[in-house]
Formats: sequence, structure tokens, C-alpha cells
Amino acid sequence: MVTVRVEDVSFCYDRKKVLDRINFTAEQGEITAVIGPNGAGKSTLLKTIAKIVQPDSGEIFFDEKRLSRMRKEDVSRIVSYLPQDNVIPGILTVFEVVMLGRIPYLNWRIGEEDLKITVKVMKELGIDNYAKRYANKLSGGERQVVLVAQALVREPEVLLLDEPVSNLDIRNKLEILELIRKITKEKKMTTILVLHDLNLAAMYADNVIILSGGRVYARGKPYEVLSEDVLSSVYGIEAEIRRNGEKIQVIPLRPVKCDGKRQF
Amino acid sequence: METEYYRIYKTVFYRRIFFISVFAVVCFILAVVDLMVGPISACFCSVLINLMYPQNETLHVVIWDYRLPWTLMALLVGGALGLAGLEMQTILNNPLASPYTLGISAGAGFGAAVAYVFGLNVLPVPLEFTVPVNAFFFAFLTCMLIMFIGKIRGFTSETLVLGGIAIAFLFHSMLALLEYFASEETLQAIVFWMFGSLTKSTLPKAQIVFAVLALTSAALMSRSWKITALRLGDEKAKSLGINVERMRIEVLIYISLLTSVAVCFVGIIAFIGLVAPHMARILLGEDQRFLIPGSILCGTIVLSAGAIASKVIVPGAIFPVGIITSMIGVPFFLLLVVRGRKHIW
Repeated sequence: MVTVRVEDVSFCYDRKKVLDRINFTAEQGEITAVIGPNGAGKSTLLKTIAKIVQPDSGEIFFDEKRLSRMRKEDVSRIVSYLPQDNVIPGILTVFEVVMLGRIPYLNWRIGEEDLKITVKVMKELGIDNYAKRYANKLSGGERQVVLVAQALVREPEVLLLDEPVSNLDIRNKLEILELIRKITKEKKMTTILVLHDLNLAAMYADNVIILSGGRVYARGKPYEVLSEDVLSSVYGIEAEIRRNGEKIQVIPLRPVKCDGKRQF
Repeated sequence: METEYYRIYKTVFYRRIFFISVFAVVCFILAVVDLMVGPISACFCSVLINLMYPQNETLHVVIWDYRLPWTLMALLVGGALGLAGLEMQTILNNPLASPYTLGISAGAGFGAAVAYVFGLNVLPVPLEFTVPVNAFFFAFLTCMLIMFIGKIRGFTSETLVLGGIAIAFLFHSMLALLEYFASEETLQAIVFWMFGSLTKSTLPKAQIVFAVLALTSAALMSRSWKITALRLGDEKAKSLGINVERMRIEVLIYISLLTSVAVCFVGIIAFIGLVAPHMARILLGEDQRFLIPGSILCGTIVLSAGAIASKVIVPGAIFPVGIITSMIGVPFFLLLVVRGRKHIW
């Protein structure tokens, strides 16, 4: 298993600095939640770690290996990345969509090992009963679970999930995040999640990174990082934080008066 | 329970193999019927005997010199266009994409017209190959132009589709200009070439199409999982470790070869590249391991059926096959769309 180290990573898109000298380390066996307002650079950060976009400067290390010197094929064997968009076009069954997660290992004829892992993950996520259904006919929430299964089926060392529970009801949110936590601990995976729900981030993440305007505003344990002042200056909201030892609960109250311009 | 899922997977696997086998049997039957029908009709046995031994001198010559090359060309060109259409729709994520939509056929048409009007040839080849070589050259040039646009603006499906449509309009207008200045006989020759016809097929030409079809389909089959993953969308394909841009360029090169070699010998046959992949997809799903052979066979079925119809509609005359394919293919395709699965795209 690997530790992910992000060192001074910057990235510009259309002359706008999306990531500005980002530094942090995500440890194996831990969940790191990346939070922040829309347009803060959370998804781009995940894409740079998945080698989908190349940073303009800085370096990402998997243990001591430099990501910039690794081939995409090799990265895809270590890293599973689930993008934000959960549309699944085409006539693909749920089983096929999940199976495609094992692309780096698939031969023309699917091996028994690939089938076994696919079935195991589908059962763990409770989607084995609709294996033969067409993925494009599922609800948004069901598709989201299918795509989480696709990310897990590769048995990655680094798991990157961009808003993996955004379309799910509260029970499914908790179930999926419980499962991700269980797998992360058991398999000593390095898991980095983008989450918008601060309470879920506080519940499930071992560490939190708050991005604002492409920069790391704060990082640390959720109970250290999440405070009324931080939420006010990052999100522009008034919130109440209830603390019970290391457990915290965020209750958003109202937006802080602003000039009416949206911050995207 | 694992074995239960393995059983389900095997059921789907063998069901798809069954559909492909049915397609192959239909192809074989159509090929035999195609050899049997014509101004001199012959039964199955006499076709078979005369293929091997010259029992009836006239029939032997008719079969070997005319019918067999036409039949083989119908099978191969249909397959090549079916495969090119499938991959075009897949890499562009667009159900309306086909070699015709992106202007490759228009490029071929312009190349043929240059040969007819000016007698110009881009390569020093025998007279018989002047039109096909020019058509191939301009069809391939069209693909390279599309790729050039992609290189400048990025290999996204939107860029390639818009670039292809613009190039199609350019070649259509240049073709119209040539037709405007062409003599009556030359204009007739261009128009007839544009209809699409199998009557100039020969065995060496069929061998060339076969070689290109065999090589490209083998290359595409070896990438079948990665191409299937492209149907999930660019972002998800990239997340699976696929270099989407490089994959698009590779597949576009194969499409260029397939389309150029198919249209250069028989002219423009527009419908097959669009419809054959949809017919196969409705029955076989999106898995390219099955969809590649399925689309080849569906293309073959449509063109072979068209070739037979072109010979029997008016006894003693041969209609251009390009006109017939759409006529027989559209009702069948509409039936599949209306009665088949919904939410294909």
C-alpha cells in the first residue's frame, strides 16, 4: 500500500489558477476528505493525483515514486478514480459497467478471478440483484452505487472518489461511507474523498483538507479544523459547531451578508 | 454463489455468440443466393459445381469473372463500412456518426470526380485503378484533415464532428463545381460512381479490401475493452487509465483505412455505416468483443441483400446497389428501432 504525498502542486486552466502550491500527505489506511466551496479546485486536485491532468508545477509521490514518471497504465493499476458525473450512456448492463473497472487486468476472455472480485464487490454494495439490468435505466442514486463498485472492483491502493454519495438518500450515504471506511482500514488503502456534506466529512474522515480559491486553507483532524471562523471565511456562512470530545456536528445557520456575487 | 454469476455471465456470452452465428449463417445464405441470381439464373448445385469445375463453360465464366467478385465485394465492403460506422459512432459518442456524416465519402467522391474530369492521378497506377486510387487518396486526406483539426482544437467528439461536417460541405461544393464544368459523358460517369455499384469489382480488388478489413478488425478486437470503455464517456474512460485522445487517433486511422478502401472500389454507399452498428447493438449490447464481428456481419447482410435486390428488381438489368441498400434497410431498421430496446443512446 502507498502513501500519497502532494508537494507544491499548481495547475492553471484558462489562465486561472485552479490549484496554487498545494501540499499535503494522505496516509494509508486513512480517509482524507477534501472539502471547500464550489470552484475551490477539489475535483482538479483529485484529477492530478489520478494523472488525468498534469500539474503545471510541483510533484505527487506514491511513496517514493514520482507520479510524473509513471505510465498511465501503471497508475491505473494503483489508483481508482470516480469522477463526479454519474451518467452511464450506452447499452451496458450493471455487471458490465462494474466489470469495466478491471480494465487493466481484463483479457479477451474474462477470467474467473475477475468474475469473482466483481461479484464480491457487487454483493458488498448490495447491487448484485440487478446485475443484468441496463445501467442507463437505473435511478441516479443506483448509478452512483454502480460507479462506486466500478472504482472498488480494481482493488486499488489509492481510492479517489469525487462526491461519491451526492445523489444518495441518507441511509445509502451512511452505508456506502461505512463500507468505504471498512475497506480502507482492512486493506490499508489510501482514500481521498471530495465531500460537500461537512457532517459526513467530520464523521468518516480521519483528516480534512479545506480548499479555498485553489489553496489549502486548513488541514488536520476534523475536530481541529472545522470551526465557526473557518466556515465563515471559507464558505461565507454562519454556523454552529457542537462538540462532544472528538466528535463534532456542524449546524449551518445562515449565509453571512455579502455583495450578492456568487463565489464559483 | 460465485458459480451462479459465472453461469449468468456464460449465458449472456453464449447468447451473443448465438446471435453472431445466426448473422454468419444469414450472410452465407445471402452470398449463395447472390451467386445464384442474375440474368443467367442457376440452381445451388450448379453454382457449387461450376465454382470448382468448369462443367458449363458459360456459367463457369459468369460465376468466376463476374458474380464471385461482386458477391465477395458486397460481403467485404459491407463489413468494412459496418465496422467503420461502429467505431466512428463509438469514438465520437454520436449515434448519427458514420463515414458519410464526417465527409470521408464526400472526399472519396471528389477524388473520383478529379480522375473522371481531368484524368489526373495522384499515383502512377494502371488506368483501371485511376478512379479508386484518387478516391482512396482523397478519402484518406479527409480523415487527415479531421485529425489536423483535432490536433489544433483537441480530440473531443464535438471538434471532430464539427470539423468533419465542415469538410463534407467543402468537398460537396467542390464536387458540384467539377460537375458543373464536366461534359455530359463525364457527368454521367461521376453520378453513376456516386450511386455506388459493385459491377467493377474484381478478385484482386476484393483481396485488397479483405486484407485491410482483416488487419483493422484484428487490431480493433485487441483493443475491444478499451474501446468499450469509451462509451462510458471521456472522463470515466480516463479514470480507467485509458489515454482517450491517443485511442481516438488510433481508431480514426483504422476508420480512415476501412472507409477509404471500401468506397474507392464501389463508390458511395451511405446507409450501411450508419445502420449496421445499430442493428448489431440492439441485439448484442455495447461489448465490442461481440459488437465488432456483429457490425461487420450486419453490414455484410445489408449490402448482400441490396446486391441481390439490385439484380432481381428489373430482370436483366442491374441497379446501382447504393440506391437499393437504403430502400431495403430503412424499413428493417425502423422495425428494430420501434420494436427493439429503448434508451440505446
